[in-house]
Amino acid sequence: MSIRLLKYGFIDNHSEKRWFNPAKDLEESYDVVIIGAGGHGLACAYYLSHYHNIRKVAVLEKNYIGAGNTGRNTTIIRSNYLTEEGVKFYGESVKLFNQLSEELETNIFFSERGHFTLAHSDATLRTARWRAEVNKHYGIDSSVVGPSEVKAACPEIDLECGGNHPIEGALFHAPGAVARHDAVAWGYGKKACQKGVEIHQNTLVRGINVEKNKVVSVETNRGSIKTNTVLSAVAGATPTVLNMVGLDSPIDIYPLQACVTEPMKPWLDTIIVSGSLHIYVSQSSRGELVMGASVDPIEQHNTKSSYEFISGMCDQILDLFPFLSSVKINRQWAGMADMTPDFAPIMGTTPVEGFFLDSGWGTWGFKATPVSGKCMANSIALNKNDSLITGFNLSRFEDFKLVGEKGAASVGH
Amino acid sequence: MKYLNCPNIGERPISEFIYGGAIDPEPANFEGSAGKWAYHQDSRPLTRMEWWYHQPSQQWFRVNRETETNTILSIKEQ
Repeated sequence: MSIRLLKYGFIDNHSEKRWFNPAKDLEESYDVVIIGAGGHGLACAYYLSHYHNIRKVAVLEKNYIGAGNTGRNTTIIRSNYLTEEGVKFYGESVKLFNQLSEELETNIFFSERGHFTLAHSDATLRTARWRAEVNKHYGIDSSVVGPSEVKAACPEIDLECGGNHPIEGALFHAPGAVARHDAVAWGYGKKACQKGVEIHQNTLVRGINVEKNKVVSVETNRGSIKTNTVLSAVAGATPTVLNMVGLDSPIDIYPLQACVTEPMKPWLDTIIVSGSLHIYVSQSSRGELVMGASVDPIEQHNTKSSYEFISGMCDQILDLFPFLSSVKINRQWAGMADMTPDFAPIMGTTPVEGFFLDSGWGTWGFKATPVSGKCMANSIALNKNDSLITGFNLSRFEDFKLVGEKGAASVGH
Repeated sequence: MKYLNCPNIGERPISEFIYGGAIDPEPANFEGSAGKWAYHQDSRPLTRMEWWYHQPSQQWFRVNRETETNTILSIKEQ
């Protein structure tokens, strides 16, 4: 052992501080209680504590930090959506992601790759043109390219797709990126804790008490907390939490599965998505291919992965990249996606005063982590929905004012 | 691979079936708007009756399923 290391072991003031607060008892009351210590919940805690000076915040997590969909997604960040609401909202998110490593003083491994959405038919190409024009109108870098550009960016691709569904073109989105998903949650948590936010892991919320239509307290497995403001950021558990305050929603829970291959040398620089083949693939900084498909065909409240998923997905991916037949799958897993009928989130205030909702993130939640945290913090601080999320309110379904976001990933359209 | 008991011809691979969603009977007196009835629902983990369809034998039937464990408790023809 070197003398330097020995000395370092004896000093108290280490240069690398603890990231999160140590486990401790719950306080009697908090200004804001956030349920769910994933990316969304911690981002909201960060923006509340840093931008609104609301620091008496508890983030309650039934498992560990980022145990849910934050650690289960395929980390793709993009803003080439189809509706005005979607393009503006996700556009802001991509901007925030660009400078997030510096803002959080945490390397989130943000890596701009370019994003191709392949078109295998005239109809898909038409939708791609439509999306490109909507995107350009709102200042998002997005264009339709031909098969030769796809081949130039990714020489390994089989443009004929085994002769089954040849690639006719693609929607190209240069700002498309990937980032390390865990680091996003950790970075937000670290910075929030520096301002006094408390993260309580292994803390399960059992009930929310509402009196005269106002939130008054939260019941957990570790005791009761007085609070007038609760944010639910729990993805697949949203229906359960909504039931605690007597609300319901149009959310359905479907498992969404993904997998990684064994690590390879870098060969895939871009992100390749095919709506028709229901697959998306990118290569991580570790060299693994991160791949996903569409949601499972059956509603389920669990995170079991299946053989049907992996065999179906490999069947499709081999059409695009035949040489992958000799590559092994290392891991597969599933997350519970809270799907909405219009593929847009449900965010903001609810009929219960003091109960805020950040849900309906289905298969498109990771890319919205910074902007949803920021908008929810604004909405909580001002008790009024942020202008970016007014279209995403819970009452839109009753009023038949759906968003119609068909640019979402891993859904058939 | 998962299997499901088809009421017609017995155990078949799950890929032969199509999930038709929860059976949601129209309530006699519903308080609230048509939009609320059309969209809002209880999606907590629970046991419920669902429609399923066996493609090769072209038959719809009802299944009582627990959504948390994905366990099929009973199968009823029509």
